[in-house]
Amino acid sequence: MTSEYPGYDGLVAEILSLVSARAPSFIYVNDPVSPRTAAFVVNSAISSLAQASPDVPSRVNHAQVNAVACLTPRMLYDSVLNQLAEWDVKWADGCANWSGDDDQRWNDNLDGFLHGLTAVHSFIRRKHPVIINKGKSKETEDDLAGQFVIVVERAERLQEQMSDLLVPLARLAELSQLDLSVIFVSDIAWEDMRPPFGGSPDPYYVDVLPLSKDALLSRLCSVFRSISSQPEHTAIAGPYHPSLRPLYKQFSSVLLDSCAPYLQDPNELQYIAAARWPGFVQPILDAHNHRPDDDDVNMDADDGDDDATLKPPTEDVRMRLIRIFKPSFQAALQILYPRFDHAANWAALNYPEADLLLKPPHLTQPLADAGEVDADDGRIGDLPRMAKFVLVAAYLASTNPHVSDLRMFGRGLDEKKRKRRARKAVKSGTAKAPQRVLGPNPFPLDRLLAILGALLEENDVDQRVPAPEYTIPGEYTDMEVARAGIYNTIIELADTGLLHRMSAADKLDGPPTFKCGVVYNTVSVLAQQLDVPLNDLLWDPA
Amino acid sequence: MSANLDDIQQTVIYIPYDGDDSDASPEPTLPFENELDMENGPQLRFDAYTAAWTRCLARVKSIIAELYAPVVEQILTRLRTIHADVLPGLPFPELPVITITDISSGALFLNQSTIAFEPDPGADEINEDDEALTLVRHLYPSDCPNITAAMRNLIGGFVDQDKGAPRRRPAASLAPYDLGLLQAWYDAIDDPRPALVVLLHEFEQFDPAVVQDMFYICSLHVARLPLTFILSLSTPSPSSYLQASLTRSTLSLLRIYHFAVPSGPDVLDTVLLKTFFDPTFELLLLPGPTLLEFIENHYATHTPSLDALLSILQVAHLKHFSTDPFTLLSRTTPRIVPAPSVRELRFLEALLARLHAPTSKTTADADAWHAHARSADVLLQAVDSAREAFARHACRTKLGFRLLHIVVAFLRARAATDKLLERWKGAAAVSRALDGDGVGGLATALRKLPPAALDALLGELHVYLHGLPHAIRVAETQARSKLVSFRDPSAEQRDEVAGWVESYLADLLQPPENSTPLWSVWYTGRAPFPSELINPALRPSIISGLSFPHSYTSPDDDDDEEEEEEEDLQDLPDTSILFKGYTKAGKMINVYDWFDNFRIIVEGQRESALSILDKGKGKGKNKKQKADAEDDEKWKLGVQARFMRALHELDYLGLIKHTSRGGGGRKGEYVLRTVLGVLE
Repeated sequence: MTSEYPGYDGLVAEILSLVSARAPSFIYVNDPVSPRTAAFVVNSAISSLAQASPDVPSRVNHAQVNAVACLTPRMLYDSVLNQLAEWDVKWADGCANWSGDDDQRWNDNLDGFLHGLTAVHSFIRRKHPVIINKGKSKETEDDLAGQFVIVVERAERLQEQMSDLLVPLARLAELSQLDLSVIFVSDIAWEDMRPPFGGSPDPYYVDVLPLSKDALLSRLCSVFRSISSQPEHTAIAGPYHPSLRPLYKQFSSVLLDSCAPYLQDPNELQYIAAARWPGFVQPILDAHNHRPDDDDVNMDADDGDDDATLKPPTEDVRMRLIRIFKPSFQAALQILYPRFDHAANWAALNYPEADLLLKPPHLTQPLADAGEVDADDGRIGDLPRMAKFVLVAAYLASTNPHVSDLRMFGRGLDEKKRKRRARKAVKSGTAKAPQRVLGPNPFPLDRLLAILGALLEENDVDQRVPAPEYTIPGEYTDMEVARAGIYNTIIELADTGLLHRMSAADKLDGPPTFKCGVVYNTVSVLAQQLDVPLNDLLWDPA
Repeated sequence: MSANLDDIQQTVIYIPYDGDDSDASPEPTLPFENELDMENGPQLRFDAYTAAWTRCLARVKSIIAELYAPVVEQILTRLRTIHADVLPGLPFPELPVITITDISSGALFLNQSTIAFEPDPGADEINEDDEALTLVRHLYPSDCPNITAAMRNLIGGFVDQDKGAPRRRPAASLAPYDLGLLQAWYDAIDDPRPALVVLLHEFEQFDPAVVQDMFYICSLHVARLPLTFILSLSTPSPSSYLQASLTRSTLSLLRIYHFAVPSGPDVLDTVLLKTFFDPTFELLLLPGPTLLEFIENHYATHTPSLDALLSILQVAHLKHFSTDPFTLLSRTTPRIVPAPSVRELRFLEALLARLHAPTSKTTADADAWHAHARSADVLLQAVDSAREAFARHACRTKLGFRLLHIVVAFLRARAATDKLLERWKGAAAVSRALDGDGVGGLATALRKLPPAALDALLGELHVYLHGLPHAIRVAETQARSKLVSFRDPSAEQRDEVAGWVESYLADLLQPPENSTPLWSVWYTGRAPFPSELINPALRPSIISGLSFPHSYTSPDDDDDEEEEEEEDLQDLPDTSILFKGYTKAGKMINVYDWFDNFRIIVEGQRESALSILDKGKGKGKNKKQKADAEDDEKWKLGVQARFMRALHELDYLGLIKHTSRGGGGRKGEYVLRTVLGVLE
């Protein structure tokens, strides 16, 4: 049974041995790497045990809940009781919960829930009657419904969502006076969520260790095995054909060599493998489909029936594939782990060229390694002109110290143009990091508008529709800066996250403050489009 | 109920409103401004406006729909296979998400695509055989203040559509925010089961924490409950926005497809060219270069939104049909009975004058004038023929634009960049060709083309002309035969061909002003667009309102602005008096000095008012003195109250910032000016 969950053998064995005997009333499973997998393993182990033991008194009644999905205590009560009573919610019945024999509701409060647990207990006992030996003591009679196991996934969320329920859940066996065990599965340690004042008993700790490379490898292989055993994959010569299993094992091993040093979550590794495998195996499938002895006419039929000819590739073909594809494993990691793209799309984009294996080996270069991953600016160039000016002004306001504004943007009568402070020789001691690196400073709206006005006066005047009614120098710009459209643009930019609003939206007193939300590279692109000499306007240029 | 205003125990005093509660504001009426107008002129003009605008709107909408159709189709295709098209071997099923990015954040695209997602319920029965129904649930940020409300709205939207739902007992069944409820509903539906789509509008406004929980809960069920989320975003880069606002663990639950709504200058150009410069489509109002330039500028500078374009066009129509009384002739000519009323006579008189207004080009035609003057019918027939003349002219102009557009696009594809070509970039610039600019220089560019390219261009022009409706084709027979005769030009012929193309275009592109004296009925020409209506400058307006209140309030806007400059301070309202002091003060204003200044001016007001009153009255001296002392007390209180009120008004307008200077406490004697350098 344990081989179903490679890498989690220890966990499964421990849980099973605990549950098959009389389990501790409160167990805490901590898996900092992949709590979702741990919870899945625990739940499937227990439910298989529950199915294997349908008879009282060794019966196990299992309920699993997710603390994030249970928005309120009521939902938690309902779902625990429905599962323990093996009650199917039916739309036709108006989605009624399990209500026992006397049509009661148990989801009012904790007290109701405890009564509900007792009711479920007696319900199960009646549902599965056993002939009671006269000789048995009375105590065992109570246990005849078997034990209850309640697994709470993402238990760390209980603390913020239902903190009142944390202690009662930990003490549920004590409160309900039933043979009951509560298992919390979480990625944080119990110490970090333990209720204060020793309110809850100490749990029985189960720690899940990070998986070894062998365990990860056998996990990946078991995934392949389970997919390739499905009839639709055995029938056609596709990437998950059973005869490709040795190749998959070698592929996984190399993949783990490249990725496992950075990544331990088995799910993420599986995700990367799933994205890379179809492309990796494509040359072999191509070669299989274009065998020289194939007649073009029955090509279509060929895909379907003579899978017997899909042979495991030879050793030198394997080596060649691995040499070609190895650099792309890292590339996949860099793109897929942060989810810059999703697996299906990445796989489609990174298909190798067709008939790779037919080419002479010296012509096939290894696939490119991942370069620097640039933040995707999308269509920022499509922003309207005024929004670009606002962003440049916001960047300047966020990086320049506000005392420098007059020197950078002020134009006196003598046209003494911006004189940047002479760079002093760096004094001994810690060098001060430039503001560009430290992140944006907040600035009030007025300052943004003032800088925007200065930018527009210098760079936008000749692009405007001529307006003879403005006679005083700068008057036209003043009017433009004061227009409703500008305020609208600023609000829109703040909504889309290109500016960050720092002050609360409902604060009326004083001007709102913002922070620039775009980085230097983006702004310099925008400045180039607008012909703004960005580096001349920065107090501390790069 | 009497309000005891002196009771210091009360923190709030309610003063009931005594006035009339009935809505006294009159029904909105059509403007009736011109004395030359016909009696039902405003109504006729409104009808003409409605006709013109409906036509224009329908055209623009259909073009936009055409532009958007490919993207909508792509999204629909993706949506159809989104749950089937899954990469095998993933650790757990992902929740499919589609983002739709629309920089202009308009609703046009979503409206169109939602209609496509949700076929008409009536039409369902017919085409249901090939694809299952899609149910779309719209969620707005206000629906989702917290996760419970969000889930309740999401689930309720689907479940409550079911009319025959069995009654649920609220306490004894699943909670309305439990996704198990939706699952139970979905499991109970007969095949074909609908696809469930949740459309989150204005995604940036949602609370990221709520959205993340919602995605998490839905992804737990996605294997059995095929939900798809569509996010409507207005950020230019959806992927980096999602990277920044959602955690990695949430992102790893999703499979995100990005789609972008077409935007940018090309979209605007297409809309404008196809709407206004299509010879096969007849419009009732042709926009002039000023209007087009404003539209392009607004689109490029402020909002690249087609919604904004529609409002600008509508305002332009409204303005056009409300300024010129003759615009009622735009579509039809009203019949005027043999015995016209006085107003009608006046209108006809003005019309006659307009038709025969002396221009530089046409010489006065005395015979025609006499004929028109004699009979109203003849005059009105002249209007009809003017309308036809303009329509003919407009059609030729549009044809000219189209051909010019083809030529310029062709040249642009060949010669990478040419200064000359920049002159005709965009609809507004092309329409400048009417403006005396002409098409001069085009021949020079054409001469540079190799003969084969020139031949290809001639071919394109010919194909375009050939594809036109019969009426236009016949009118351009000469040009077409010329085009054919020029095919395969030799190197020597190049000059001739280039010259002919230029002169042909120049001939087509005659300013509409020359077509008929009544051109301004159908063409906006160089009339400026009231940009203040679309994009007002707020603070300058407030300040000019405070400085010159009477030019806003007095009904007659005569041109004697010079006199208003000299307005006496005493005649101004209190807030304006205070504001005058504000403009003369330094950076800081001492409130007490300000009050003194205000008091003196108000005293002056009072004295001049009293002197008018006193002229007719004579009273006992003693009595008067006593009354004066009492009055003075009251008066002083009144002045103070008026000052406070005006001061607060300035405060609300954001013109004052309080300081602690000179007060010791929180609010001191001095206030800070927030607007400096006010021009008087």
